[in-house]
Amino acid sequence: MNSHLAPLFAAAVALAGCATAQPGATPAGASLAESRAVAAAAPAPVTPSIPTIPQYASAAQALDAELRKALGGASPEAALTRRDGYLYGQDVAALLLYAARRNDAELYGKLAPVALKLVQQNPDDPYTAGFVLWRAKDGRKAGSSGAAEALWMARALWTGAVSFKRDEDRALALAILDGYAKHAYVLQGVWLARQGFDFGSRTFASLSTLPAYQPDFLAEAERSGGGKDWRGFAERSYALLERAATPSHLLLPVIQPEVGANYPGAGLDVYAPNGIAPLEDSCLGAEGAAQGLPKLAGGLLDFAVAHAGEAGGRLSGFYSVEDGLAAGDAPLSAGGYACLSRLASARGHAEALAVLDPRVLSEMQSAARTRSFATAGPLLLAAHARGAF
Amino acid sequence: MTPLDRPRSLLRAAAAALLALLAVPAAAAESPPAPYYSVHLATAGSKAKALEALKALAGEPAARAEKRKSGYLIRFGAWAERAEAESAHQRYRAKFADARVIQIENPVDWLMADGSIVTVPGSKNAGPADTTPTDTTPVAEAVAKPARPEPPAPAPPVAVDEDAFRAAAQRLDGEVRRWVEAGVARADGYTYAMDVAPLLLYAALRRDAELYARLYDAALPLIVTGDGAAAGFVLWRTKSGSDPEVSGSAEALWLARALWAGHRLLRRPDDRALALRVVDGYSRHARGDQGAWHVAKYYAFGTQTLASLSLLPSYHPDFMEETEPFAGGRAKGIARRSYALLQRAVTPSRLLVPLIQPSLNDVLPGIGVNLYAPNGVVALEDSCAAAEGALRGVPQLAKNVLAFAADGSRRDANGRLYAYFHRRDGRPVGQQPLGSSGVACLARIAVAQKDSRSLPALKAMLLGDLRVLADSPQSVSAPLYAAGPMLLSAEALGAL
Repeated sequence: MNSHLAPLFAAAVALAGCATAQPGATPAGASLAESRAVAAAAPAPVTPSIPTIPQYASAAQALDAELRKALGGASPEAALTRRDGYLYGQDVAALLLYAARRNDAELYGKLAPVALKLVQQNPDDPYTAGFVLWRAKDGRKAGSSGAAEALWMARALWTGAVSFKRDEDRALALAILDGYAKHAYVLQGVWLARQGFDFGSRTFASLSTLPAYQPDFLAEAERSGGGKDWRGFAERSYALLERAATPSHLLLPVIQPEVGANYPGAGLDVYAPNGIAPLEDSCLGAEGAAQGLPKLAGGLLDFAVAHAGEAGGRLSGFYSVEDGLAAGDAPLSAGGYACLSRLASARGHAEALAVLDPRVLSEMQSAARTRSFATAGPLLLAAHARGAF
Repeated sequence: MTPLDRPRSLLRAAAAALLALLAVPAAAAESPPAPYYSVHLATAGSKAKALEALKALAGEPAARAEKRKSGYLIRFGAWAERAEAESAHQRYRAKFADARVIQIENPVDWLMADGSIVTVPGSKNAGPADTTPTDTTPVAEAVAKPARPEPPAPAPPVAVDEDAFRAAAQRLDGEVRRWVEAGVARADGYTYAMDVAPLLLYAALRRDAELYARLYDAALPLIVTGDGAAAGFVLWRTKSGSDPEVSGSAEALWLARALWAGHRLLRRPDDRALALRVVDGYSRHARGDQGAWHVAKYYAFGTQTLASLSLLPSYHPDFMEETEPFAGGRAKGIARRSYALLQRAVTPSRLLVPLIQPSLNDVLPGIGVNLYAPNGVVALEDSCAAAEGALRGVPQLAKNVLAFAADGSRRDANGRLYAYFHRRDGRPVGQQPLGSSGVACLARIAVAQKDSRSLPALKAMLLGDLRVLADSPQSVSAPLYAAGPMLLSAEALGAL
């Protein structure tokens, strides 16, 4: 084909594939040969050799105490419900994982029934069995599922099964991973775990973001012999995250093959809108592959240290992947600081911890004061990884 | 459009170009130009007092003082909808006794907080403004700075032998007739809207009733009939016995334009009604409010959902403005909104960001983008398509695109334009050459703009593409898809 005409015809073919979207796609699930030796995805190691700042441990314990106090009331579910009246999958899953890591059967036992409410197990709708809701509210029909929520929930149950010898939790974790597998697809030749499933329209989103990938955990689950539907997903996820890496050390946040298909030859299946990436998403992507792709975590922590140093210890929520400059005025969220802290603890990155500890301390104090348990899970996981308990 | 509408349309276009230049926050930039709605806050007696008052409005869109007979009027915002101004007004009701929403029909230049003057097209004291937008230069500075120097001269235009060009165009025209005679379906058995619609438009413009009628018959099954929710949608492709898969909004625009041209130039009254039916179907791809308004790329019949994604070829405000008075209520306002959206899409490079996807804000909370360039990349062909769709309403878009393409640094060693560029500085991204439909589009807008400086190089590229396609149609999977845009350009160039 003439090279000048080639893009035109490629575009036509791309349009064809794009327009058919799901009908033209290839269901994922076929395993790729495992070529990566991945260490077991054990809980993040504590870094006692790097001392925390004063008040850090007490702030963590205060937040933990507030959480237990709230859960000790008549309705743990009500305690975890946000002001908008919804119970969020991410909030509950992170706390459940925290309880499992603390080996705290009592706390875990209070959270597990709440978590169950977020896992779809409707016999009238077998296709969505194991889907984890993005959020739920009494009296409201299921809205949408979340691939990221599924991974967090499965990981929490998986860890709980080990900590408390609860075989039923392991079975549920595997069922959730089977549900997660239904979110995965190959579109335009690109494998991705789609953001979520809309129960109203019975459709999946056509794009994906970085928190929907946790290959370290998937690799661990695969090694245990569980599941068939998601075998090979760890390898695919590592490959995708590697593709998302940029020289700035931030990760491209959006995977949307239909965008790439419209611009053949430009490599835009994975992209940052206007070149902007959320730091928290980059962190969650790096955290999910901290063991299989440690260079992502290392680079991101170096990035955080450098930019926090330039901004009085504070980080922005968004940065340009091109030049690393902060984009906009939005500060990094509590969840973002918590994620970076967990990553720094896992890697024993003293410089990063020195920058992050004061921020995490402040966020924990704020969460305890306001009894905001939406951020409690990520923060308490960070504090646990930091050796605060 | 009535004759009386015309001056207002021109004013709107000029002011719209200014708003694009201003790169003011979404609320204001979304707005089309005069008449527009603003919030009036107070009147200052002197320039110094006006500047002092403006300091308190930092962050408000288009905060400025307007010097009128009564003094310096402190105002902000420039919205198309009164409701948007009302909403902004609520924040200042308590602070300013005189605060109110006003409709501005006769704009004057704006005095900005930094003391600079923004020249407003249509104002009594308007002067020439640099309409090159920038998102790195302060608003007023961008407007006040001297006109941008001309881009570096491209390589000396390649002299195109007019006879050779004409011969190549006529040869492809003849080949296309042969291909159409053999059937328009591709090897997969499907008839594709983008194979048929541009050629149908071409046949109409050539006033070739026979070719038009043949293509019309092929196009008809692409239009969803009946009274259902998808009536008037244009299918991306169709095959006898196949269920509809997806519609295409860009496909709808092409087909509606072709039918409208068929009605006008070939005196086919039924085609007018069909064109308007397609316009109505196209209009049902539009959704969202204010800054989130967009036209979905397609509708998926299987899931009965509109795509979250929207691309520039899904907008053709000139055509929508022309048909709006005759189309159903759904089409109302689409032209105005499309002009505004395209102006908001302009980047410092002069090309347009290619994607509109407001739902991305749900996926990446806080990122705050509705229109964007993936990885900062803009596509020359899509920018050209947008400029072509707004040639009448916002001609500056076409001027920008042509000026961009005239820069020699945007071409490879063979003189071929690249396809992708960076949105900020316009440097090429990758080595992908611009496709033939992109070159054809540039040639058409150059003709429309009477840009004799750009035409020689574009014609040279187009000549090569015409020859290749006529000589080797078997080497491509969709020769009709390639032929339509090229023949339209050849027609515009007077080669046929």
